[in-house]
Amino acid sequence: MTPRIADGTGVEKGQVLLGVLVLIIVVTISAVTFVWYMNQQQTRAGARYRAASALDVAEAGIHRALGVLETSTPDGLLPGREWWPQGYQETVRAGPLVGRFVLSMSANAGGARTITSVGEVGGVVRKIRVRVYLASPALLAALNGAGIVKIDPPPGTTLLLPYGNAGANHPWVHLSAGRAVWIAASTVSINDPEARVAVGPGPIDAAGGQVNSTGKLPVAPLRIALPPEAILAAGGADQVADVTQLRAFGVPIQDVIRMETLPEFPAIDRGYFQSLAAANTANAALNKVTGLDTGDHALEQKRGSDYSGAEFAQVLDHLAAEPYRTRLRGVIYVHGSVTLPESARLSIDDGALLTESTLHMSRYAQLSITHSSATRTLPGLIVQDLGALVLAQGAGLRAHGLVYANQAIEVGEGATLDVVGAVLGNGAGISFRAYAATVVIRYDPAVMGTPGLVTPERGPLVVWIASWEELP
Amino acid sequence: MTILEVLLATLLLSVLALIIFSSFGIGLRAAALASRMSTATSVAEDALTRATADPCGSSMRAASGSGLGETPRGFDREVTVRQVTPPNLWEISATVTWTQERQRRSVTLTTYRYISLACGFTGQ
Repeated sequence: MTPRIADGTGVEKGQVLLGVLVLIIVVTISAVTFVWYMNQQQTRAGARYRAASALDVAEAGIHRALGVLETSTPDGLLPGREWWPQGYQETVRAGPLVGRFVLSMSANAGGARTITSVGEVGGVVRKIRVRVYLASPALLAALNGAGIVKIDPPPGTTLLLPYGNAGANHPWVHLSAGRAVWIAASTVSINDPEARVAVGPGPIDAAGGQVNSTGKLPVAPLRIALPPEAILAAGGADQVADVTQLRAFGVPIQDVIRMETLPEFPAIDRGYFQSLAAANTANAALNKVTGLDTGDHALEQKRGSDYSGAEFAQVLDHLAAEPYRTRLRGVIYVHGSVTLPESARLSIDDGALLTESTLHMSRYAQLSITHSSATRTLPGLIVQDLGALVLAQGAGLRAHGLVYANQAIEVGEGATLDVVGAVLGNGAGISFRAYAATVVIRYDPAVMGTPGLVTPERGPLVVWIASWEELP
Repeated sequence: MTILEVLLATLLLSVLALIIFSSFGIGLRAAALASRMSTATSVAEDALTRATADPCGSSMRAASGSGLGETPRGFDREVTVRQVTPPNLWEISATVTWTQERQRRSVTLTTYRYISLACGFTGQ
């Protein structure tokens, strides 16, 4: 178009105005879009603030529930463990915003509980669901004896340390005992940073575990928890020592915590483990061939992994005859005692072994019970009733998860106990004794979430959070 | 094209420019406020995360002092901790304040933290 001055009668009269109007429309649309977009930014920032606040309010609800479970119900009338809220509400003030959380709780198999907390702030809702276990505080120690824990002189060493980041992220102690921690001689090697041992990998790490290139483990001085009446003994059983004397005796002690009382050990929900074992058909083929070999028709037909003492002895005999097939899988429950013959080797993958009487590992017998990350919280070995756990000379027990004996745990000369989890001996006399043995316990706080443990009805409990997730 | 037309167009453009520049100003202020509010929310979230990092509460005690380190320039942060019922249950609030357009603004996040009896049993 060639610009020219209009004569007032031409067809291009008003063209500039029209152009300006078009420009106005375009610029107005752009401006409105820009302002709308910027306001959206502000709206989003506000929504993000409310969403963050709602999540914090939902978390507040979870922590309210944890507090109630460990103490008493909000009205103070009942123990917290009897609290099963459905729609319990509380208001939380966050600056100018007022939020609220709504709590619900339900029971799961194995003693777990699910807590759901819904946090709401300014119309924004966030939900958190956690799975918790009510655990005995006895599980806070790497090695715990209801009676006396006795460590005898070398050869051999005892190493108690955290597994992974447990020491940094979870409260725990190395050692606890109801009556005494007895260090038999000044030559006892316990948490010696120079000690070199070979240990297997834990459930969530690659082969080699925490051992560094020199074969040393990252041990620290001991933290020992004792009830008021319990003693530290150095030398003879009646030679009471204080921390300073024990340090002079060569025992690296950081501190001794005096508890009000010794926490009761958890009981075992045998029905839960029996049902797990009965449902475990991973060993059905082995049962069949063993039953065929021995002519035991009941064993031949057995699909599950719950055995009588005699049946399990047959299984062990069968495995001993086939040295290349020494593996069992899943939870195994034996209604009786178990004796691993001399030099026998047995592995249980992703499972646990529960017996109703003594587990005796004969000389140089080797038992390995290992877990993966998926089965990490299963117990490793549980010896119930009047049973003791005995490792004879040169025997080796490697276990992931809780190792529990209702009576004493005795680790004989030259034997090796390698545990990633915790060890509890419930014997009233000697609960745990390591006689010139190598004991390595890497405390895994996941033992607090061991299913199938029954928290004592009286006394304190601690809540263990097994999983924590935000729901959509 | 008449002189009247040009004058009218100029007038319209002037009015439009005025409106648009002021709306751009509003938009930019809204964007700046949104940006600072997001930063403040992040700072408050970070403060709460750090304050609640230790399960036995040592980080909480540190946070209520000056243990959380520097805040971004122009922002002030305050963490308050107070005990609520039952014992060992703590209310933690993180408030982040800043000044924008001569107005004092703030965001506050609040949560609870329960210090487990496990800490007492293990002397931590």
